[in-house]
Amino acid sequence: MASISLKNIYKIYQGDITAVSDFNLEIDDKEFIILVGPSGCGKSTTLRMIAGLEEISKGKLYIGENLVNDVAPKDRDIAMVFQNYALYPHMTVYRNMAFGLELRKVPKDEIRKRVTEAAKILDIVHLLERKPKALSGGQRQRVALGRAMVRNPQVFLLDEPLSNLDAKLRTAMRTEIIKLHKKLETTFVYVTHDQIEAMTMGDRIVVMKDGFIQQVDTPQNLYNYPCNLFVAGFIGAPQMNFLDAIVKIEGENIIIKFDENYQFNLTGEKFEKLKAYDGKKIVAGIRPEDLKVANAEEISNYKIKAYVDITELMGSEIYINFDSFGQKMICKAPADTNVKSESEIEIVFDIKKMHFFDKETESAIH
Amino acid sequence: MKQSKKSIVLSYAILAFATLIVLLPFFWMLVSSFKSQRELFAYPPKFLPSVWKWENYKQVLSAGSISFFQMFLNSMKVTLPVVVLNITFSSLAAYAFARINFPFKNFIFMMFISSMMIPAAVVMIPRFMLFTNLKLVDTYWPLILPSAFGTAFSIFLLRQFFMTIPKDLEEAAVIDGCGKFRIWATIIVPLSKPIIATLSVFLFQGTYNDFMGPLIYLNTDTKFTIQLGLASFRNSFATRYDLIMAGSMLALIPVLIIYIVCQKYIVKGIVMSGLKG
Repeated sequence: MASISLKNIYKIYQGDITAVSDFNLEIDDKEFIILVGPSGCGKSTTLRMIAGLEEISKGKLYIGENLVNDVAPKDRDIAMVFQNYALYPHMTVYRNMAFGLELRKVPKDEIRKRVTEAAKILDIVHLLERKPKALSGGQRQRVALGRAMVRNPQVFLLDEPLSNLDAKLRTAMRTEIIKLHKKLETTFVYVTHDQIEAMTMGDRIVVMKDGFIQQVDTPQNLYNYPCNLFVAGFIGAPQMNFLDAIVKIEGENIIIKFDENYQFNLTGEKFEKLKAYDGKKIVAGIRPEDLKVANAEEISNYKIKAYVDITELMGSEIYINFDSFGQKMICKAPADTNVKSESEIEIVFDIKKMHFFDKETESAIH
Repeated sequence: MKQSKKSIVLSYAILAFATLIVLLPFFWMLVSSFKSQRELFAYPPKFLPSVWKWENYKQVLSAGSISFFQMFLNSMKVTLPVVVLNITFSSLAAYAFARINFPFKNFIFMMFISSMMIPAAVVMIPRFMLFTNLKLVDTYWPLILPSAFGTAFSIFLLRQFFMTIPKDLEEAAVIDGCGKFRIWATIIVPLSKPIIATLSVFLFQGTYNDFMGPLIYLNTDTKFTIQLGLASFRNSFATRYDLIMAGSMLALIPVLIIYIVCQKYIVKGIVMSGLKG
């Protein structure tokens, strides 16, 4: 059993600096969980507390059934893959992978068997006699994974392992890590600041900010139902468009007013919760792919005039950066959309996909 | 930026000239060791000897109450333990200062660094009194013990180098199952070859060339080190500069060998101490 349980975990440094606050999380056996957030949010600190490289200031950490707060890292049955690989430069690839097993007095035959097996899975058998300086970034990353694998740990901890690779290699290694997780059937705790990695790799994602958990959910739920402004803005690329608005309730009509010229009349059960916000400021959110460039003949109640700043062609799609009612937005459209910079167009909102947030508390209004 | 041919030629000319100035005393010593006493003081001076007098070296090797080879062995009896023990204990201390948090760490380190400013002459007499009370005068212990357990310079140099070794490596070693001592032995020391080589050369040179220490503590001439032996030639052969040159050349050989062997590490050590690991 390799479940992990973090109960009311705090990390407080000297000078009362709280890096992680009241962190509660249950990670199931064999789950691939991602800790994601901007720099300084406490995700690596949390990972290091699980590894035992940082002391837990308050709270309890269980790996399986065992309370491990005071257990040394080597006795927690975990293996870690570091952002900078942390391969021993003076040892060959073989020795790097075998080192941990040697320290545990595993017989030489068994060490050779495990190292060779892991090397075959990672396709690094031909590199076993080389030293790390003779390897490329991707090869070093695979050696770092191999060093973790040979230990047959209960838990794999990965601290931004792909951040030093170029974009193409990152995409390839992402797939390799996902396959590895399926093959090894072990719990993976993966830290990243890249929301694309988070969305594509995890069973569940923990979004963190300033040491606090913002939301824990599956990638799809995080994307479709972000619980606050931060999560909504962090997940999704390009970022969700945020528009300041005021709610006006007129009888049964729910109106969100952007400015003197633009307001949307919302109908449907989905928007009932906005009735509690009459006269209050809110933030309306709409993802770039939920905006559409309107045809000339298109009729919609949710159409606005837009002044195009610049367009960015991404190959299969185009990002249209535009201004409307004093707010800057991005629309994601098919690449063949005929839009020029510094021109005027009309944009239609897919109102069913709109999100609303309390401007004060920043929480989602579901 | 492409340098003009002129400036390249000028740069090389200046460097060659400076090299000549630095190497000239060495070459003069070398050619003088093959000259006769008369030729040494001839005017105008001649650079190369007219007759190469190899017997200068034979005389030096067999002169005095103690052979040159015995003096060399005596020097090694002091130098090698100092180099090995100093580096071992200094690197342990340096690792603690670089990576372990303990109370008053910064204060203690500051005290170590401050001790580098104390002139050797200030501690000479108290140290002599101490070793006299311990009845260790006329032994090699007063020459070995003060440096054996680490010196401020060695600790400082090693600490600065250890701080450039990425912490990730130690953390990986901790997860692999290493304690602090094993990290020092299997990760830190093997990665510190350049600085250890550099320090070895400094320590070897400093101990091997030490004249005052053996002069103060060694009375029996069969225990004399090379530097003390060379000085005693000056008494026995008060005017024989040709033999003194030959003796100095012989004394120089071990230092040259050490430097040639460790040269690539010394350069790497100087370069790496300024770069991130």
